[in-house]
Amino acid sequence: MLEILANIFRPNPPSAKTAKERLVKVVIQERLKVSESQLNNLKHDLYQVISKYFDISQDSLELEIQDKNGHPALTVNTEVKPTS
Amino acid sequence: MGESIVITSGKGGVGKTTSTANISVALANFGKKVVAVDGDIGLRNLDIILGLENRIVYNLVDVVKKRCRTKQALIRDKKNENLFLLPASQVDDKSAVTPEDMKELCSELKEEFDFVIIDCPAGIEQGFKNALAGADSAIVITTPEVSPVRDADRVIGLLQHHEIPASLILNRLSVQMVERGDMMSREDVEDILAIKILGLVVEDQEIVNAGNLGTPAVLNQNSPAGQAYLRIAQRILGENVEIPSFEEKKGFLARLLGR
Ligand SMILES: Nc1ncnc2c1ncn2[C@@H]1O[C@H](COP(=O)(O)OP(=O)(O)OP(=O)(O)O)[C@@H](O)[C@H]1O
Ligand SMILES: [Mg+2]
Repeated sequence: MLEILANIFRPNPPSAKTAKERLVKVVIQERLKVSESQLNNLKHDLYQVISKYFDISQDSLELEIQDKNGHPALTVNTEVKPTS
Repeated sequence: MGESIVITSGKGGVGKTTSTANISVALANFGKKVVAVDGDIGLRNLDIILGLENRIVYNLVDVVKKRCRTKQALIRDKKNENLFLLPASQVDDKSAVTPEDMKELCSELKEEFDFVIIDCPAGIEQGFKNALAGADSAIVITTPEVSPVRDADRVIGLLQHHEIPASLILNRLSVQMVERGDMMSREDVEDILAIKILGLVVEDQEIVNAGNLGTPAVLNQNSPAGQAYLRIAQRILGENVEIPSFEEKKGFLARLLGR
């Protein structure tokens, strides 16, 4: 009972969910054995390629390795403008 | 011909030595001839947990360096005549032993014993590689926290690389914290680590008591962790013992009293 009340008035949200989300990210990247510098190089190369077709800023280009149904997936996200 | 099992984790302090001691005692109590090998050279602990620290004459490094015969270094348990300890050296470091030495030692021990249980040091350096070298299979220990699970994943990858089959013990799980949503559950950890779960051990003050006394909790009927290790030993012996769902709802009064 006290515990239920304590839960309602607790200052922070439960932390286990955050723990799991952080772990999934870290573990997926580590299993692929990609280093931060490799990801940076990839980002740079992608920027060069995409720039041939669209007007993009290097800052808006986001690379992420995510879990897609138990498999690692590389997600590339960027704002695009038609080249002038 | 016996079977050798290494108890490993990556992250330190998650319960490798506790698990080695309890599993060894449990297997011996089920009538198996067991030797618990302290692979943590330079930082021995298994002798203390088993309550055998006063009986050490020779150690693993003495055996490997042929300063004594293997039999001379084995210490028989006080209560169980099926159980022996091969202590680590406290004065040498990990480089005193090579993976080849460990392979040779383990095959020799497997001729005499049903089970050779190897307590691995923390980390993934030489001590880890030594402890692995003579093992037929591995048990990975983790607690339900971010760093230990991450390190466990790394170790599972390395074990796969060495083609050593592995299973998992999830240790120090707190029922209350999981129910509150402040600790990852068994299911959460299973989702992340692609490995078979061998057992689940709850956070239990009796483990500290057992360490104080030098009598592993597996002998204590009132220790939930000890009872979990008994079931783990049964599973190692091939029995089909279910992992109880710890989330069994307790009575209202019991909850109120926090038990
Ligand atoms: N289920 C449990 N409940 C309560 N305390 C526990 C439990 N399991 C382990 N401990 C405590 O955690 C501490 C570390 O355990 P242990 O020495 O077995 O870990 P370890 O992995 O062998 O550590 P190291 O990496 O230093 O060798 C000990 O003080 C032990 O009493
Ligand atoms: Mg230890």
